[in-house]
Parts: sequence; structure tokens; C-alpha cells
Amino acid sequence: MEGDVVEYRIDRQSGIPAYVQIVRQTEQALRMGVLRVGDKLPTAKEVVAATAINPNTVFRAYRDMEQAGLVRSRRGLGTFVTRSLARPGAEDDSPLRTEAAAWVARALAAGLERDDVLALVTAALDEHEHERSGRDDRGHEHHRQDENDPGDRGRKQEDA
Amino acid sequence: MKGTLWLAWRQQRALVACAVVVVLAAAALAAYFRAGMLDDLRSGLFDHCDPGPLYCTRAPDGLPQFLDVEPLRLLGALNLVLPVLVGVFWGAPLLGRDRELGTHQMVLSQGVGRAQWFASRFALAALGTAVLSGALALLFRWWWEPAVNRSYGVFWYEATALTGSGPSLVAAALFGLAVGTLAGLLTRRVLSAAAWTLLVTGAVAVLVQWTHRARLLVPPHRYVSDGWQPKEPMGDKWSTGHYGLITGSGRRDSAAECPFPSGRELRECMTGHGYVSRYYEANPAGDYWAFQWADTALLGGLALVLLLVTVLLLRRRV
Amino acid sequence: MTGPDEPAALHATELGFRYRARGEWALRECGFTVPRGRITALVGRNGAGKSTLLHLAGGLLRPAHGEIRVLGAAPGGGAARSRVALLTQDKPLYPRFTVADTLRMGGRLNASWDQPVAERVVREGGIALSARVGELSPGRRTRVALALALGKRPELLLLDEPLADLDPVVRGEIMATLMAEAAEREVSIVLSSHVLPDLEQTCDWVVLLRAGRVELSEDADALREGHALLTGHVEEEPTLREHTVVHRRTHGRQLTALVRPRGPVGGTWHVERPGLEEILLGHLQDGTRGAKGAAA
Repeated sequence: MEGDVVEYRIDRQSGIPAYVQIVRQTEQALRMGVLRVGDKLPTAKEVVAATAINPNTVFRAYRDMEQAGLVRSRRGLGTFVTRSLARPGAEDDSPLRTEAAAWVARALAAGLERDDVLALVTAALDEHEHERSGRDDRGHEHHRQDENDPGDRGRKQEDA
Repeated sequence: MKGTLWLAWRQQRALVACAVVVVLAAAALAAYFRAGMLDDLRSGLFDHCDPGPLYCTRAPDGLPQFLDVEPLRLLGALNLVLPVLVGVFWGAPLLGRDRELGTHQMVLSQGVGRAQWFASRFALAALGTAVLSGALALLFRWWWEPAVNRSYGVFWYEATALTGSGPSLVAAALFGLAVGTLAGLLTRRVLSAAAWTLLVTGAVAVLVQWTHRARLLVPPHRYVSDGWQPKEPMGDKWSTGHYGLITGSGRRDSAAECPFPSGRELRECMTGHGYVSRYYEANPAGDYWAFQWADTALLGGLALVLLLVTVLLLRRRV
Repeated sequence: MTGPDEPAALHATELGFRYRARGEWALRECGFTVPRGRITALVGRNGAGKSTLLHLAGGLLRPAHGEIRVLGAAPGGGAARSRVALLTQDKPLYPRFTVADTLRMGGRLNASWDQPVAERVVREGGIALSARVGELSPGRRTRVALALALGKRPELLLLDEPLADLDPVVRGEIMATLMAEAAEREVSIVLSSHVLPDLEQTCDWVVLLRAGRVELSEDADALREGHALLTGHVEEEPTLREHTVVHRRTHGRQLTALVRPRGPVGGTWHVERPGLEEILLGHLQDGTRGAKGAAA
């Protein structure tokens, strides 16, 4: 069935609200290409029957994603993915990925350990982000959304 | 109503089946033994017997002669304890079982109200009890018919007959049911409800027998015979055991003052003491119905009072 | 989802109840409202009055004082009976009935009855319809009792400790069944439970009873947002004066406090957002409020 493409897993110990977990897992599935445009998300009943969480939580998560333009719910039919988050360049055989693999191989050869490698990447990302937030003076939480919605970002810059 | 009746039937069908089996078995035994009694009577063996309390004797050896009425007395005994049995096995679990398991909460959480729930189950139990006791009472009456008030049969005032037949048996059984029902509501355990029912129903049964013996509800008739002429025969009357002598001024004395059955001694004694007549106290055979209606009113009334108490307590207890 | 003038799932005013035998008040001056469409956790310690409250709402008991309305109707009346289902704590069922008999009883005793739903709930637990109720495990009995309650298609479902005595797997399954039913049609659920972690992700309204009185009746998210868990030096305690301290605990020089801030919190504190479980625990324990240095 089309609706069976994702399965949500709720971590009760994480302290992260369940609806946030659903949104994040949906985004991740979209980014990894597990979910594509036109796919049907599981119904609230299916999610709830599998996870034993409050159905209002699922409704809220779906509502949030609909407001973000990721999905659209059609009465009586279900909730469908309307936009992909998969980016060219994140697939397995993309040039970026090949370059990263080569870079990681070099770092390991130079004697770095896994944590060192991750630290390097994080540091580079932070530096990059710092420059960007310096430019538009906004928290990095909005960063992702900026990219998703250039129109919105443009408006905000005008306001600033 | 249909739903609660279905539930009542589903829960009481085993008891109803039991009752049917008991009635059928009793009917089969009654038919068999009654036929035997009729055969004995037709044989002419009892043709010479007079009605009356004195034993009918066999011509050759003078031994008392009886119809085979022991099985009939056994049915009477069953009828005597029927109110206790109904109370313990039908009345006590009627509410007691639900109270013990808490299932009344489950039933009352469905779409039915207390009154409807109780009315259905009590109505079915009462109907079953009335039909059972009525059938057994009628069976006794039918079986008893050839031997009624015969010296070789069963007199109306014997407990097995007076309490084990007639409408009072139905009232008594319903009383037992009402006692058991209320006990089940109050004790919330079937076992203790059954124990209380046994106690109360048994005590009331003993009390009823006592009222019979004491002639509390149906006073005896005084049979007076003038002078020393022979007394009216006792026949099928139920004697109280009170005999005596009456003076010209109307004072009654014990028969022990002139302990002679008849003849010259009696005449001399009575004349000497100034007695003008003799008497004895007894209930005539027709009082069978007076006793029946008195018991029916007493036990039926008690059953109604208990039912009323049950209904009033239902709201608080269930 | 629900209009503003639609009657609340539960609405109590000045509600009081006293058991004849015990004499003391089991519930006292309870006033609260639970909106419709909510999944409500009724929490409280043993003897706080949870069962009493549910029995009053289910019409099994009558208030000694005040009143309680379910879906705008009086509990136990004809209007409420067909729309409210109550599952009491011992989940009483007739042990000698088969599962099929039990469901048939549900069909006979209720004006509206959804046999497919009831059968599905039973079948999801792998229970044969021909099984005798008395021979089922506690978890399965709970499921049959739940099938009886859900088959009625209630608009308000009252559950008294539905998860007590069940193993974690069955607890999860029962909860999932409940939530799925709640997702499918708009049913308000009120469930009492001691198993606080199970409530964290399932309940969106909380009613907290303390010694017969309602201490909280609030939206779960509002509760989460309205509380803060502060950790810091004992000397910082005076800065908490204008806030409501629900529960505090000291250990050496360290103070941990669950507070309902009224405005910004001064002083230097490590601030965390507590989970529902921590908040409820804090309120349930708050008899220790003010006891300094008590070992936790």
C-alpha cells in the first residue's frame, strides 16, 4: 500500500514532544528520498495504533507540516506529500558524496579518529553558519526554512 | 427491557431447567404412586374403614391399615423446605452473585438502568418460583385426593399437607426468594447471603408451624355437648387437646375433674360438681382454607415488604 | 473540532461525596471542566478519589453534594447511559459467559451497538470468541471489557485504572487500541492511572486529585510550558519567592525545584523543561513542600 512508506517511531525518553518527532522523521524521510511527492502518509489511526500516542499529536504534526507546505490533507482520502526535500547532491552517487568519501579516507589516513572527523565537519559548518547569520541576523533554526522558502526570506530581509 | 430479560434468562436458565426437572420427576412419581393408591382402594380392602382419626384395622389380626402415603409425605416434606431451597439457590445469588463479582457495575455501565435490570431478573425469578411452587402444590393436592382426611391416608392438618399444599406454598416460596434477594443485596457474598437466607427462612417456617399449633391466626371452634350425652365425634377435626367441663355459671374446668369417658361415674361426678355440659376445642376440616389464606396473606405480605425494602436499598447499595 | 457551546465531556461543580461506612469525604468541593475530544489523565495517589469520581461520572454513585454532568447530561440517566461507557477497575465480567456471549450481552443491553468494532478489539488480542471469560488472562479480560465498552460506541469513555496489573507489552497494545479508536471517531477518554510514563504521550488533558480535591485540571501542553525545573545553589532560593514552588529538594548545597514561574525567574539557575511525568510527580509529592534537606 502507498500509505506504508514510512513508519514513525516515538522515543518516549527523549523529552522531545511526539509531534516534533513525527515532523522530524517525516522530513528525514523526505530528505533521504524514502518519501516522494504524491506518497500518502499513514492515517492518524495507523500511526496511533502502531505507537500508542495521542491522536491529537498526530493531527498536530500533520497540521504543522501542512502549514509548512510539505503535505496536503485531502478530506476522506488522506494526507499526501506535496513537496520533496531530497536535494540534488545528497544521493549515493552524487559528486559531493564521492568527494566527502575521499576526504574522510584522507582524514582517517592522517590518523584522525571518528570524533575528530565529526568535530572538523561541525566546526566547518558552524563557521559557515556564523557568517550567514551575521549577514541576515537570524537564528540558525530558521536557516533551513530560509532555503525552503526563498520568498519568505526575501520578505524578512526587507523588514530587517 | 428485552435486553435485561435476555440477560436474566441467560443467567437463570440453569435454575429454570432444574425446576422443570424437579417438577417432572415429582409428577412422574405422583402418577406412579397415586395409581398404586387407587388400585389399593379399588381392591376393597379399605371399604370397611370409617372416616375419623381412629386407625382402620385389618379384620384377621387387628393391625392398623394404611395406604402407601409415605411417598406423598415425602413430597410434602420437599414442599415444606421449598422456600428455603428457593431462597438459598435462587434468591441469594440473584443480586449476591453480581455484588460478589462486581458485575452489576458492568451491567449498569451498559445502556440499562438499575430499575429495569432488577425488575427483569426478579420478575423472571418470581415467575419461576411461582410456577415451580404452584406446580408442586397442585401435584400434592392431586396425589392426596384419594387419601384426604382418611384414617388410612393423610389428614388436612398434618404439616406436610397444610403447609406443603395450596396457595400458601406459593406465598412461602416467594417469601424465600425475597429473603434471599435482600440478603444477597445486603451481604454482597453469595455464601453468607445463603446462610442468612437459611436462617431467616427456616426461622419463619418454624414460626408458621407454631402459629398453626397455637391456632394463633385461625382460632378453634368450641364444641359443647349438654350433660353427659356423648360428645360429637372428633372425625376429621383438628383437636387442640383442650377438653373440659362447664358449670351452670359458665366456668370452664379441666376434664381432669371428672376423668371418666361416660356412664354412671361421669354422671355422678358432673352432678356432684355442678357441671352442666362438656366441651372440646378443634378446627373443623373446612379451616384448611382459613389456614391457607392466613399463611398466604402473612408470607405474601412479608415477601412484599422485603421486596419493597430491596427496591429502596437498591439505589444505595448497587 | 468541537464548538464552544457544546457541553463539556465532564463538568463538576462543588462536587462532594462521602462513603457511608467510612464517614470522611472521598471527594470535596470539586469543580472542574474537561473539554470534549480530549484524552484526559486522571491522576492522584491511592485514595485520592479517582475511582469515586469515575463512578460518579458513570452514574454508579450519586453525589452527596454539588453535581457532575457528563456531555451535559446527568450521569445514570437515559441520555447519559447510551453515550457514556465506564470500565471499572476490576473489569468485572461474567466468568461463565463465553466472549461471544459477553459481546452478545453488549448488543442486547445497548441501544446502539457496533458488533464489528467489538469483535475487532477482541480479535486484535488474539482472543477466540468461544473462550470462556473466566479462563482468560487479566490482559485478555481487560481487552474483552474494553471491547464491551467500545462496542457501545460511546462519546465519553471512562476508564478506571485500565492498565493496572498488565505487563508492558499488553499495556502498549491496549493503549494503541484505545488511541486508534479515539483517532477514528471523536471520543473523549478519561483514564485514571498510576503508570505516569504511559500518560506522557497519550494524554492531552490532566486532572490531578489530591485528598479528594481537584488540584489541577489543565491542558497537558499548557502544564509543560507552565512549569520549569530549576537547579542551582541553595542561596539562590529567595529569588523563587514570587513564583509558585510546586516541589523542592535540597542535596547539600544544591537545590532542585519544580516551579510555576510568574514572570521571568531571577538568579542563576540551570533551567530545564520538565516532562509531564516530572510535573505530575512533583504535584503528587508536594506534601514534602518546605521540608528542607529531606532525603528524597
